[in-house]
Amino acid sequence: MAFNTTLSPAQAEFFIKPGENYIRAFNLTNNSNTTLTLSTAVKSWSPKNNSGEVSYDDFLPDNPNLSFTLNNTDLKLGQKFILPPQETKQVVLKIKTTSNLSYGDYYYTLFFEQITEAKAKAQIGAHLIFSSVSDKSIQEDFEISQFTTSPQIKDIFLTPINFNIIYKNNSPHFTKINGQFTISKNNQIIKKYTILPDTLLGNNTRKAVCLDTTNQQNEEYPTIVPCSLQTPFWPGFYQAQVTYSLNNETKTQEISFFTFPYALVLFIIALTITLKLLLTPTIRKKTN
Amino acid sequence: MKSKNFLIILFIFLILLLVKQTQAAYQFQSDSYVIDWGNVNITSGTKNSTNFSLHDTVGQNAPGEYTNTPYILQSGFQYIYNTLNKFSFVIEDNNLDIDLGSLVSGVGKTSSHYIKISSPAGNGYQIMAHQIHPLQTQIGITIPNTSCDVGSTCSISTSANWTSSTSYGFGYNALGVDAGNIVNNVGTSSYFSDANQYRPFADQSTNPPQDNQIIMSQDQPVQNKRAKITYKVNISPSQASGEYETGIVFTAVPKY
Repeated sequence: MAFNTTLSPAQAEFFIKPGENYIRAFNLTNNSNTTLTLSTAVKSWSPKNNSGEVSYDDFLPDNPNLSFTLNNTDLKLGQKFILPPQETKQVVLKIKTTSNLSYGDYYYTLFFEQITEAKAKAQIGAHLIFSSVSDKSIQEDFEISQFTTSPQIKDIFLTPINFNIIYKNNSPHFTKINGQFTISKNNQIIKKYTILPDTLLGNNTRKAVCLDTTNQQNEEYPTIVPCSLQTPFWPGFYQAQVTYSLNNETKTQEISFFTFPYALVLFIIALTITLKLLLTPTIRKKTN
Repeated sequence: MKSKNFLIILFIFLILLLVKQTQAAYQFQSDSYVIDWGNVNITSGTKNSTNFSLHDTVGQNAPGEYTNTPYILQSGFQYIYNTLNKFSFVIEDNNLDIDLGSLVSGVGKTSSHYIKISSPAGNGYQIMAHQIHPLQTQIGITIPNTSCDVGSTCSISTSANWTSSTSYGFGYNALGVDAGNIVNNVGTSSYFSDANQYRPFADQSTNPPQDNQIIMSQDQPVQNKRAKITYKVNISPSQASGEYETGIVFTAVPKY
């Protein structure tokens, strides 16, 4: 019995006022030619790092101010259901909150778990990222907390220059990062990237990844590239700048760095010294 | 005269406003029910030619894509055909009962199957794995999880070489492969560098249960990325005979 499913949407993000309910439909399609037996579950997660990975902790206590149910007439959360081949099941998840729900972010995954006697089985999940707010028109409050380059010694031939851009959210509510990343020399832009609009969780950090806007083959599967300047490049001073929008205000952050053909110069010096040593006539003291 | 003209203009304006409103909504009525429709779509679907693919909706009010950072609103049925927010996971094996066959002490046995993933625009993915319990017989005799070769110890979160015939246990390897099953290690290179690297599964039967471990992940949206999962077992001469089994659970979620 193979497992071959598609889940949509893969992620739902929304704001909610304490005491409100939220309803969201998820569609699970069985793409295989065998009938699947499945069940549903909701588990909480926490961010594992600043690149979007999550970790699950089964020991987190339930939040008494939050509850999850299914609005389907024929299915309850945790109840088994059959999904015939090539069919889609719509599961309508209802999130009920009380007025005591604390302001801030909440992270959960709706799982569809395969029920089978087979020894290998699968589960697929869609994330729920929501924030409890007093007013849905919240103010964003994030910044670029780290903007650095590596390596320290920048040679124009040896290694690419990598840029580490970390966004930090000072608000307890999630948002989306945005921005343009440009590398300039002598006020001429030599490389321009769009920063992928990843989700920045409340009071958390997110490492920016770059989209090469000059080479997009497929809009749905864009090419993500390192935020870097590839060798070889001209020696001299460079400026790297991130421009982003925060509450309709444009913000910029800039760093400068210097590149030089260190390896080539060292090689020429070493070669000169070697040649000089080899070609200089040796003076020997004659003794009678 | 002026006030009469004004009333005529006002009347025409109200009629136009009413006509405009009835264009934007529809109402179906019976004796007991009234259904208000925002709009009635005449048709929608996909049209293809050799070079083009068109997704359309006819009859939609205000169709199109509207953006206001950080939100995108896609109005119209034409948008349901894209894979923008779809997440797929496949275990490519019609028989998920992995059979490692009859075991001989000191001779490692392996068995493999493939997994495949597609993640939506804007998200990467992570695939995790755990075992329900160690390989065990019905009376609870177990084959321990591997700790790999002496001198290159592995754990549930680190891989190491496991080639010695005197290193016993049960473990697994995951290697990214292309459509032709050629190893490219895409998505798995952070976890397993080559086919000789193994690690034990996280065990859910311990107290407390071990954390599910990531075996494959990428930061970017992907389409049909595959990996070969290889299970390996090598038993010691003192291992009791019998049928040993366990359950392996693969969990696929998007990166947020």
